[in-house]
Amino acid sequence: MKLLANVYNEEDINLPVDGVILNLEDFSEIKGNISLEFVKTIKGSNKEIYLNLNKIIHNRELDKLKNFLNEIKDRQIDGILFGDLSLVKICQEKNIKIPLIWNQTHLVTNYQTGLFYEAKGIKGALLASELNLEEIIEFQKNTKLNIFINIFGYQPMFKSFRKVVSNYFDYIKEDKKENDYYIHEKINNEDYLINEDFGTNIFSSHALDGIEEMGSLINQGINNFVINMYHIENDKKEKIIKAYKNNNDQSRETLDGLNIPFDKGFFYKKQEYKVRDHE
Amino acid sequence: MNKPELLAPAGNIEKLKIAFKYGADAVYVGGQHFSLRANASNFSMEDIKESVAIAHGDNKKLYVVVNMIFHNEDLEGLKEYLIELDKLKVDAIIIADPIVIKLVKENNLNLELHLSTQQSTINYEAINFWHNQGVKRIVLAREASKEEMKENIEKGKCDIEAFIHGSMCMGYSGRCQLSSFMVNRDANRGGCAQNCRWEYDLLDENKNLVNEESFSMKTKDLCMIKHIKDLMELGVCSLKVEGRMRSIHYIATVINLYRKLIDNLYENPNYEITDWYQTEADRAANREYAIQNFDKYPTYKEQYYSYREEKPTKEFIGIVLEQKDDLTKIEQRNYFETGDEIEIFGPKTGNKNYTINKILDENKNEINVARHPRQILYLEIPFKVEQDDLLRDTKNNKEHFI
Repeated sequence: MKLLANVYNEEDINLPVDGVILNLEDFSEIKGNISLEFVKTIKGSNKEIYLNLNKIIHNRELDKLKNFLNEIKDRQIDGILFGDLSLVKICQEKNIKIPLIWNQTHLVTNYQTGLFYEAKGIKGALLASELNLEEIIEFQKNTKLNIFINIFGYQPMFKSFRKVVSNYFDYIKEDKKENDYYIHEKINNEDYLINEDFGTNIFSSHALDGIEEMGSLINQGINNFVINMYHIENDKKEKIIKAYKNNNDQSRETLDGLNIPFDKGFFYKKQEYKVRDHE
Repeated sequence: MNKPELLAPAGNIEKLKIAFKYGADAVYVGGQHFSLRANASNFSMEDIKESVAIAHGDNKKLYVVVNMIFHNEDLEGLKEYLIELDKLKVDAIIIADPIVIKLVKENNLNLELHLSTQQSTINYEAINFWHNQGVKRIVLAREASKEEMKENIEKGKCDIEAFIHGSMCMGYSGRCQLSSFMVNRDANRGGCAQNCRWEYDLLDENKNLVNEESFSMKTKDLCMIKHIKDLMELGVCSLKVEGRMRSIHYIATVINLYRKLIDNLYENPNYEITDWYQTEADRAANREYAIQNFDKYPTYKEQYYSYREEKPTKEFIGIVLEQKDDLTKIEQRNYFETGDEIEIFGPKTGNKNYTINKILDENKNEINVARHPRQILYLEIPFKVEQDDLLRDTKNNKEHFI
């Protein structure tokens, strides 16, 4: 079992995990403070290093992306998570051997599509956080892809090209003063973090906490568990990692003491989509 | 100049016939499974068969939308469904999940593949990845600017289809799961609860209310009348109208105006676009229009922050069934009464006004008001009209929205 941290700044690379997924200033859907220059300096490490290049790429970014991939192709990077198929095309053309991991956020939902990507040489998949446990296990059992699942943290649920918060402030003729805001949904009385990096992001109201489910997922062959450190305060990060590493009675107590709203995400949910039947 | 395909939506066979009659070159429809309008009536296999016959009989095309992002549980029956569509000789399927590509290849099907905007494909390298997988056409991400379209057409190996009219998503298509997280309805499988159109409060980082004005992420509708010439010059192969769940009045009005516009621009690239086109578009609108991403980075002016913009249109009052002797048989769709000034329009009829002098019910008894939806009525229309011409109440005319 490997515990990986989705990190957004250079200091967090030193967190005591088996691997880190770096979210960069460029090419990551959720922008991090990790520069491309820093990535170029990465040398051999005792932990796995992944790059989360999962942003939807526009033409104007392609040259920079190609140059970056060229420059890092011989670095000891354990994987590139991609959200745009341009990465697959470029890596194939440039014969870049870094393993590619399918991470189209909400589109990584079934094992047959996993098989499609497997046949294209893709090595892994970070499953959509909207899958339930049954779907995760079925996905794992039916492909040879190296499966990664989100086990902890606030989950991205919306990405827009537009700057929706800035637009609002323009509309009310006030200055936008902060980076992070919340949208309050009145019916269910929930608050969702909203901010603007490469457009607009909105995150889940509760942090996913799957510590109780980890054991059974490990038994089913899942090996890679991702803790998302986005919007987690610095003093809580190592406590969370320790709780997940130990995964004992104390862990629950530790997590409950962190004052983070938790839920089980979609692990026990069956989503609806057909509310009317016309047949 | 390129003459692009005009691609219309249809939620049932009546709408499909109207779309073709009013000038669509191709129509896209959803089957009863695997498309993103899970809650529309959609087309049975028999309907699709009939639709193919209608389309091909008129030398036009029929595309079937299979654009769900599948979960494991949805895969059952997909292969058989694709085999059936292949047998029916639909002209293409519009897909979002590459599992469909895999199944089409594995089963040696001849289905032409168009990649849905749900993949949010917006760069030429991604386009060429999909080309290598056998995709013929890309429905470009709605975020594409004019420059991006140009470069994608120049450097991409797939044909490019672009939306020109209708509702927009605020998020990148396929990358919004507000509906799943908030109400457990999967937008990528057709269950979108349109949470972006809900009203929220915006709170600062200490969770204090920023302003009394509601926060929302509602887009205005796309309307590209002013840029159709640009799209034709760029070489966009297909111009797509959104709205499989919209009314026949919407389809007739919007397709009619774009048909005329494309034809006029193709014949004369210097054709001056008159106010008529925008006036027509406004008549089918229930929201304001905007150009969105094509000519600029979208601002607050391309969206709404309150509910007051939703304006249901009641302008469409009936459809012509037949004209015989001095009487025109119609089917009522909205309230009207004797003395109302109405407009009748159709592809051959054009736009003609007439004041209702007499209304007869199905038994030819005179009545003063038509208040029952789908009631069969007779009018004394003093000029020639055609089957499927539409009747509009002119007193409900709206002002220009754009």
